[in-house]
Amino acid sequence: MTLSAAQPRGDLLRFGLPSKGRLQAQVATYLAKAGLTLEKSSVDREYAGELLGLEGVELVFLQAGEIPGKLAAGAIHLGVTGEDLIREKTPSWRRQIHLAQALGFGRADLVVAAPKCWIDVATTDDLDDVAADFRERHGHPLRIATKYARLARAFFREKGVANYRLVDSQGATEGVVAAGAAEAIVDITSTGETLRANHLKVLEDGLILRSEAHLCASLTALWGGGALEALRGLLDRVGGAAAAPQTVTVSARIERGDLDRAEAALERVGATFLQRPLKGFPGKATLSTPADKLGFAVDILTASGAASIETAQDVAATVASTSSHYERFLDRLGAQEG
Amino acid sequence: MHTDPEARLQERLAAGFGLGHPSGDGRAYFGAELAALNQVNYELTNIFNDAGFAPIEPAILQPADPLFELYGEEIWERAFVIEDAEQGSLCLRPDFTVPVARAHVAGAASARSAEARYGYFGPVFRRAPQEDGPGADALYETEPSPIQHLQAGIEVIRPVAAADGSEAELDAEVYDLAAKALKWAGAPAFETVVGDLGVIFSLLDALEMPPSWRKRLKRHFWRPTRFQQVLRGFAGAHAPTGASDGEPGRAAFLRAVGGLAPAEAEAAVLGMIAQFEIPQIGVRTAGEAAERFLRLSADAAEPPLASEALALVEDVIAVKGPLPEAVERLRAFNGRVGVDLSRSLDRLAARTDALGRRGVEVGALVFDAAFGRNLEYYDGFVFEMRTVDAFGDAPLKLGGGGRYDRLFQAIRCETPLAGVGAALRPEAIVAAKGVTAGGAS
Repeated sequence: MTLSAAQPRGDLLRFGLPSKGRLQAQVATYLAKAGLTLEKSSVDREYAGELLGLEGVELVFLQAGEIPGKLAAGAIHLGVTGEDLIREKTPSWRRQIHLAQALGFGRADLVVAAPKCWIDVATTDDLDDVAADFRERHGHPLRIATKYARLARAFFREKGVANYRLVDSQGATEGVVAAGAAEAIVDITSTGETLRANHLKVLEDGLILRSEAHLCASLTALWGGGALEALRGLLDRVGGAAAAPQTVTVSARIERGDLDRAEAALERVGATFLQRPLKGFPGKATLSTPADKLGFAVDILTASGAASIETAQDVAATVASTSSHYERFLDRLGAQEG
Repeated sequence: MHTDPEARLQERLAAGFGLGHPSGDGRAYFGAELAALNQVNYELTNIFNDAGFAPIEPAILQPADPLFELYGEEIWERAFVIEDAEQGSLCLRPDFTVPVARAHVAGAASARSAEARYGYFGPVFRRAPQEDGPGADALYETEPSPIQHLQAGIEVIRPVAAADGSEAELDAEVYDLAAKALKWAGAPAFETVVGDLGVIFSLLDALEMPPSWRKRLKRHFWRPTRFQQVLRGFAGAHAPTGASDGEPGRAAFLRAVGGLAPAEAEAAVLGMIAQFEIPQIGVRTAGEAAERFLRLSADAAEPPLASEALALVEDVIAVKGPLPEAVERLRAFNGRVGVDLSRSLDRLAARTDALGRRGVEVGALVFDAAFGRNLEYYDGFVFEMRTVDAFGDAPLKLGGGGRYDRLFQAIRCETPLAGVGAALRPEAIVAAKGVTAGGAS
């Protein structure tokens, strides 16, 4: 913890929130469940505010993309932002930012998508094969448009995709391929609707990151007693309100080969396999899927020829106690200082 | 006041005046540490100058587009790229070898027909390696690596010689000078790792397999995990080249396309696109997809790579040990699976002899057949000198280099050229000596 010009003032908990949009509304709803209300300051200080219902908190409204950097620099103690932005914007986030709590909203998948008309391309392996002689054929390397350059590079490195070139695209990335400015994209999607409308398909193994909004705490900020007290108060209040992610168990009779073919699609909607039928025979498959993605999972199974689909609510995933959120943070902070 | 210019220069170096370059690995150097760094810079540039290497200074800002295809991802991912409204994409030079090679090729044809010896000194710039991806959790505990550091180095570029012997001689000469320069500049004892990418490439050339497989293996040689996965795929029962069965109907389509004439295959692809009402977007045509289907279909019909061939590649890559013993172990592989590696092994042996004749203790050089797999432009002899800092904890890379004949093909130079070079790191030498701002430790 070093002193810097960006050091928070006083001993208030500086809490960074998105300044607008859907994410801000979701944060407001989430806090409201804990009996807390966002209150923006008067017109002349519209980027500041307070949290009605909890003492010692100073709200700072920021562009969503700025929050990771402010957390990393210690300019705010706490912030709400997506894991995708943390990983993309702050290379050293592991030693600067503690992901205190997943919030269950702001869900988006970072994926690799290619034109649907590339019917010979289904996986990153195919993409790599196409990239191999793309330059010879077209005079430029295979271009992949994204604003997530770091995450895209790390993913392609891991998958062994080579000879591509990233093209920066800060908005409307889905349209870039049809416009002829790139061959493929790396972008976030929640339902895949926009990708489909732009004649793109997600590669089977093209899921880079399943992201959701997190309550994030800075490990580099100056944490006074007041800020820590406010953090404990906040976690106490919201901890009880945050719903544990609900999962549902789905069972079905399906041929093993059909299930294997549907595996990537099922994994993309967050399903995990509990039981698979033997190779070559129709048998019972059991998987666990997030409750809000159940419809997708059933659709995929039906389309893959599954029969006798049954669902059952999972027996209570244990809710982590709020004090453990606070104590885990104190542990991280202590480790950082030691 | 001194009148002797050399004495005056020495005095100025000791007082902290540099050679007109920003010094240091992205931090400020001062006091005794700066004087030591200046001294090392001065020694190295003098050594290379005295050995007949003509100074060359490529621009710090290089055009990004031509460089993109010359560097592998390892360097390119870490290049600082700057967009300029007038000049387009520019990058801060990530090393000297490629800019020097480009400058040489851009020079007069008469100059290209003779041997050129270049010596350089200055900063290079690379972003810290990415933390995300495999092994990230282990990585994040370590300090970020410097994003700029100095390099003092040499390059010899000349038309490819007819006789292998003179190339072996040149490899040995460049290594020997680099190692001596480190010692003369005051570096403490170091370990040298050597490799020879020519051995692996000649093995891949000699093994029996379809040309498209060979091309794919060579292309992924630089990514060890991927290389192994592709290689094992070729040797295994499952479809080797990106022929995933994932999309329903794709495997059946692939079988149906097999054996068709290119025009028929293209018509089949267009038919499928029309049937599912998929609009065609982008520059890649249905003909290209059809061509790829045909290749995949032909590849799928090929017999898998013999398991003995797979074992041979993996055995050769795993060879590691003192250089003379490693040469003997590689010799023992020659002739296995009917593969003749004599030519590349003779070259390796000739280089080892040439090093010995120069007084290099070859038994102390560690040969590692897999070394050099992170720099895509090297293709023959590679080496790196390593030590630890004066406190004995942090590993230090003092310098390295190798042969990069392939680079000139990538630059599309008509004259076949050969290049060998070495780059040394002054800051690492100072750290190895243990000099800090307050003096020697």
